[in-house]
Amino acid sequence: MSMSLAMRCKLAARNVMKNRRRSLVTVLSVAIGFLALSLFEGYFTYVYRILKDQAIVGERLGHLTVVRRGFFDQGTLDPEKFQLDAAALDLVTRTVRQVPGVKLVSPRLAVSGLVSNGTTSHIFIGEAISAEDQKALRGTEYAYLPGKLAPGQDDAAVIGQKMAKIMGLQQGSDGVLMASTLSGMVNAVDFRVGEIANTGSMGTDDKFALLPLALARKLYGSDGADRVVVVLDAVDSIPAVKPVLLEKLKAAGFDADIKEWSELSVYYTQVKGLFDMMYLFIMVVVVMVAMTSVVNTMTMAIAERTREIGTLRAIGMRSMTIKSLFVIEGVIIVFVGSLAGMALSYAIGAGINLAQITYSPPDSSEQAALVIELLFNNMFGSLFTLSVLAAVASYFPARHATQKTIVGALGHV
Amino acid sequence: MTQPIIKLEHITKSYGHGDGAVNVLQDLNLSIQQGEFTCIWGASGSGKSTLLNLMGLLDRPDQGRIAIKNAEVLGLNDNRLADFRSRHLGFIFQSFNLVPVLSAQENTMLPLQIRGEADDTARRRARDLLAELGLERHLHKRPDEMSGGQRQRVAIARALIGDPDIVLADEPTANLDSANSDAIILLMQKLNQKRKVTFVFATHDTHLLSYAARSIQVRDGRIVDDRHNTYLKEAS
Repeated sequence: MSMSLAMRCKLAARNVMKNRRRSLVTVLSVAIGFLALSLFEGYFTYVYRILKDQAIVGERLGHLTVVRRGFFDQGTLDPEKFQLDAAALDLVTRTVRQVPGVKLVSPRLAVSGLVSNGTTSHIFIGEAISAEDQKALRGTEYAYLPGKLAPGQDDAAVIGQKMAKIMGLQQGSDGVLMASTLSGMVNAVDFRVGEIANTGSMGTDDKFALLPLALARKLYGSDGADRVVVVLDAVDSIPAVKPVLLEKLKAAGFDADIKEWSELSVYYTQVKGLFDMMYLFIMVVVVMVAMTSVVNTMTMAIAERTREIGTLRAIGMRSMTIKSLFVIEGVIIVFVGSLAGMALSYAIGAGINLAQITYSPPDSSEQAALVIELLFNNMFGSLFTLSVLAAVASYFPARHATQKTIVGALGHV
Repeated sequence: MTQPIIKLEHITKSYGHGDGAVNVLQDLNLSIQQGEFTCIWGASGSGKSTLLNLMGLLDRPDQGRIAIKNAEVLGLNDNRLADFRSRHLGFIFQSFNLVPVLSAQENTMLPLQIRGEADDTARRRARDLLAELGLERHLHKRPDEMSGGQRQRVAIARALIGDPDIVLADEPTANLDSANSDAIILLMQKLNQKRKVTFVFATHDTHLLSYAARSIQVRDGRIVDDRHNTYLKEAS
């Protein structure tokens, strides 16, 4: 025995409209709160996507990195022990390629040592990859990025812009790379500056070098790699593919350790952690302001309609139904406010994107674009969350009102 | 003799606690028969509204027993009491107590919708009942667009739409002028005779006593007079 939901919604909507000015103020406070949340979320979404692509493609981390177990902890101390020689590399490559969802298997060597222009020398730190793998990793979406290794030119390296300046090197200049081989001997190889590229980070631009894998192997006296980077068809398939890879490699007799790109990109993890914390803080403040406004509106509405509550209870309406009327009122206000906030977010977000605003992020040698990337699913999630919180915020004043005796409510002035 | 539709036995009710407690009703006994048109009258503070609230299951006595339609009702929980009121009781209030955001027809439909009856049925029955009460041209007006007499007629329609066994009216004419007061009481009397619904109304206006078939005087929380009227003013 209960009033239909449609009738409850109708009654609640009429009451929202009755106090138009008060409802409008609350709707506006929710809309502005929703707008603030959405714009921050839209900005963070864009930053996360750029940082993720930067890590996977720019830092060449791919989706998964396969190493000999122990490499991540002790690989620097004893590189020879954890090196994948030609046979091990062949085994790992063949095994990984058989797993469905794997798009690219790319052997890598971490490199570091001294670079010389004939008169002065400077440290370099970087990585070695084959030009073909780099092209495949970038795909068409990021083919335009600077810092490309040239296929078939195994002596042409990419170096950082600042390093080139320090060393007086230009594109086409010759130089010498020096490093210790795996067995501990000092070795040197000639190289040519294939391209000078800005790494985007002031901390790495003065020491960065990207070498063709063949050149690095020659420098290190190696015929293999120290790790294999795996790119999948989709980043979302990491959780499904990773255990399969581990199992297959174990079955093949290779004791592997596998890390995901997000575990290896310290910068991404730190920035995301910072932004997540900022978002949480902003969300708490916005939600508190919006919900306080809702509680205030509902408390006033309930106080004004105490006699009406008494009448409805007298003629047979159950307390729970009365509570639901006020909960629906609160949800309607927040729902309308959120929809307005959503519309405002799209409009203001588009305006910000059109304005092409740029800024200098910390530790960056380049300007970054301020882009708002609004995702409907995220905004729908915010709308849903705010609506649920509005229901909770409205429930408590309504509960308080229905705890009053019917006679007391009917006699309320 | 048939069983009374309302039976109150040894009812005591007080408000407040300790030294400040006020005894409103004291060991009160009362029976109302099916179809009676009863007036409970007395001065302000005599306890007539409290008595009506107890009959209407809007309040609980400190002591005593209440039976409505032979059912012991004081053991029911709040939800069961709400359902009982919805099925068996209708209420008319001094200040009409209509829902301001609903039209006359929607206000009248409300008790049926609370019971979960279909909107179409409720709408049709409300329209017919309001037409019977002379409000067919005011179906879509909201309370603030109607006069006091019209509002009280809507309240009467709301009280009757669920076919209750008993209609309880607390000072139903207190906010009306004398012409409208008489009209409302005569309308209640007519509906009592036509529908055989038991009406109990409380008033402090002795002028209205001549309309009631039975008048019960309450003073200081006790029934001091209970008589049947032999010269009843009737609706034409």
